[in-house]
Amino acid sequence: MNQKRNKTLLRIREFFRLLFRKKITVLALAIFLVLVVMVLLAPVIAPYGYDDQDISRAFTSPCREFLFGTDKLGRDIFSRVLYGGRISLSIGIIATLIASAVGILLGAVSGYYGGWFDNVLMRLFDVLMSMPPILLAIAISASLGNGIMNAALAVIVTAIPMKARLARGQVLTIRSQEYMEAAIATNASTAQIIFRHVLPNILPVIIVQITLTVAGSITTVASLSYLGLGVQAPFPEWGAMLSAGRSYLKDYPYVILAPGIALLLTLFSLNVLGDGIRDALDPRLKD
Amino acid sequence: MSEKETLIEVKDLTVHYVLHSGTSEAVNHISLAMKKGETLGLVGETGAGKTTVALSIMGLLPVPPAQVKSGEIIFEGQDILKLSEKEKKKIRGNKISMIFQDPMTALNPIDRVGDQIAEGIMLHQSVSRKEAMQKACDIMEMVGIPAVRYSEYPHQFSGGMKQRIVIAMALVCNPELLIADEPTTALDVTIQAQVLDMINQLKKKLGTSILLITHDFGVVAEMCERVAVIYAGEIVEAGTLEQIFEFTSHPYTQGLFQSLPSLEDSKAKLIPIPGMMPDPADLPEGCKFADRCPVCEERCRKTLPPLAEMEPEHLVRCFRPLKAK
Amino acid sequence: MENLLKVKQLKKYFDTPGGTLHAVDDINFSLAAGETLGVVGESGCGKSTLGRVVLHLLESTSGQIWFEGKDITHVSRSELRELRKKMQIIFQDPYASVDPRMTISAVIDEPLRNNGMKSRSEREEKVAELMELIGLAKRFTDYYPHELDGGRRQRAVIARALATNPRFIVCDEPVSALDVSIQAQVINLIMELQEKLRLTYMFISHDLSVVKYVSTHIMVMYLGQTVEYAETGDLFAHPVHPYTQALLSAVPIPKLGAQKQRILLKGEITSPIDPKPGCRFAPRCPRACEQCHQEIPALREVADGHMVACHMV
Repeated sequence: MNQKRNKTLLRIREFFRLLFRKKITVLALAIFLVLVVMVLLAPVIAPYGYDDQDISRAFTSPCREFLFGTDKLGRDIFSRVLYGGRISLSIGIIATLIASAVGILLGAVSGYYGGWFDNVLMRLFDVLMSMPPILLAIAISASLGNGIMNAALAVIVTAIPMKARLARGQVLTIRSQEYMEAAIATNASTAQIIFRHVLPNILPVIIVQITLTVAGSITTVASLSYLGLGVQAPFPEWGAMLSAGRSYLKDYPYVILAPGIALLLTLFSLNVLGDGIRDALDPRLKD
Repeated sequence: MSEKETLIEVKDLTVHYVLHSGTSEAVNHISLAMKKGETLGLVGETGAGKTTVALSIMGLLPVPPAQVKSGEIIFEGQDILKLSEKEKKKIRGNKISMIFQDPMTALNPIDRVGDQIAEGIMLHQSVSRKEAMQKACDIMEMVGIPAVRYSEYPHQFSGGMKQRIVIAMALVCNPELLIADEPTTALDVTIQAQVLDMINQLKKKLGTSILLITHDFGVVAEMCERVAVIYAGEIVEAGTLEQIFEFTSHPYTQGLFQSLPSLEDSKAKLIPIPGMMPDPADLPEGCKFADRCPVCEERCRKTLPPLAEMEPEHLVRCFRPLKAK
Repeated sequence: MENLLKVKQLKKYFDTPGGTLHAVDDINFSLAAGETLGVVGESGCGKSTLGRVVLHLLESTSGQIWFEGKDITHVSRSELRELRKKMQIIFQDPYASVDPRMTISAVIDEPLRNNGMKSRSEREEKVAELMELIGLAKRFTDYYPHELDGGRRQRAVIARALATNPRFIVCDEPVSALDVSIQAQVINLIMELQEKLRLTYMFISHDLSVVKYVSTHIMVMYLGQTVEYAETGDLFAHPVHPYTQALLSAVPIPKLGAQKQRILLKGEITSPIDPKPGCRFAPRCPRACEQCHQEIPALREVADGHMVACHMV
């Protein structure tokens, strides 16, 4: 068993070697980790609270005291970006994980069993996917009312069909493999087949997709907040900050600069990371 | 036969695949010569380097990872390995063509088969579209496909028919050399018989030389005049059909024959070759077959036996050849 | 000898967009314990489907199957579980038939776990025993399939099939994906195991020389139907059906001067979808007459234990 652990270790090391083959992936991972750490340590790093107002210092330009300046209520933008990142990133990641878990399970079961269940589910997802995802999210969010939870729910519902589709396609490919037949011939139960053969084999593809979806979810949350549907004042959120700042864009462009750059860096690093993981997990691209 | 002119000569060819995980020594110092009109069988197992030799001749080696470490391939007085891509294109498909095991890789699924044949003609010969189409029809008839099927698409043909079309495409410019890489392996045995029969008849008619790559000694016996057996990137035995089949000298060649269940003799027991071919990324020092060889000695593990001439044309790479004429 | 397996009028049809595909169409045979039935035919003749129907990996359309004297055509879930311990399958492609994410020991262990062997140490012992039986060195225990060559993988597949101590194994082209020198190793292994464990095989292959080597009886199939059935020696010495004759003559012989007069068949295999009445082989048969195009010839005995389905013999 010790040898087996060594093998797993070797595999993991090999994965990282392949992942770090491209400089840009290393850069992306570094950016993402720095962002996460900063956001997590917001209470420590941030010089001010996210809603410490002081009208007298409204629209201060970036200076040593206020790294990215202050907004119309005199709140420190740097601190708000840090606190806002907590909301953006956590909704992005949690919503993606929930959507993936539900979507993959539905997709895997649907693909494995086929039949009417598959048919009903897939047609339902067709309907959901026929709408542009952002419109769907807006519709859900608007009908449920404003708020973080509802925005997250909108993100989840929007992301589920994609995940289910993907998982279903993967399962269909694996289902036709001879080792599935071998498992049936040796009396494997359906649960054993799904957990022992299907899920481990579709996981690499799913992991890549999850990375990319986190980026998508963050965008959706930001968009909803930008439209006033998601996170409500005074909570900072990157999209909401962009929205609040847009009226002052002409005179004080720095009010949207910091949240915009934070959002951009997050999305960039996640997308590049997703590509990198895909290349590292695809054995055909190994050399 | 020896008076005939030499068509192509592969001299001391060494091709390695340089990969991150290590260097795979696919082909090591292989020399082959083919005369005009002759069929040479290149026999070996998966990974022995057969296809790499073929791709080198075609100028189709994937570079990188492939690297030609040494050697030359002389065809019509020039070294193919040194030609520019443009010059190679003039030879490829025109003077040397190749057919693969899977006909689908050579056919475009959304193009009419007749047009695909005609396209090859127009690429290499200055003929009008109409003439090219006429020629395509002629060659389809020649490989046993009615010309009325000119406008059909590849999926409308069965496996054997597709392979015929691929052969037609390869022969349409009347090449000097046809490289056939396992041309019938994917086909059923009755269809294989038809296709082999057809290739033999075309060869008689057109005088094309054929380099037949296969693992099947049955096909070799039927098609070839000379045979080269290749193991772990090296030629281990080469000679005429008679020399290889009747006076088998290398233990590997003999092992292959003894591994084949026979249709004729039902009592003969199969004697498998123990073990497996060495990893081309980690070849042993001496004879590559030493580990599996029943007559291996100490020196076999240390020094690589030379490819020695046992008698005219019969070459064997072994310190202890089994028998000679 | 006791009949281990008996199949009567077995049919398996598939509904396809183009019509009904007659994959297995009225197959009858019986197989005694310890024997090997070789099933030969070209691609699309239904030989693989036949093997899967017998194993209940596919449900039969009609007909009956007996195993150990019991009618197993329709069985309950629990009966099927018991049955599957006794009937196993070895696949053609050792690359597709093992899960790429499992180690070799996990592959061999799977049937043990599935069939209720709870104790881990007991299972480890059994896996080691099986690996020794099929000649796979202990050091390969924790290897992943892609780290092994085809021959070794196929050995692992054989070990998996033997894990539940079956009596009957369907070998579906078990050596056709392997190189010649490895092929001989695996064929010999399969035959040694038969002797050691008193196994009964249904050996499906397109390679006549391999089938001849391993089988006691041979069934030649063409488009879902049996055209000829006989003892191995008998079939090769006196092939009666025109298709069998053509098939035998088409095999290239690796010997000088061994080429016999070849019977070249016209055309190619026709479609098994909604087949026309009459003999399935008639469109390609050099001896076909009017009757052949109208009536399906019945399988009848032309010599002791030698069955042929042809109007012309």
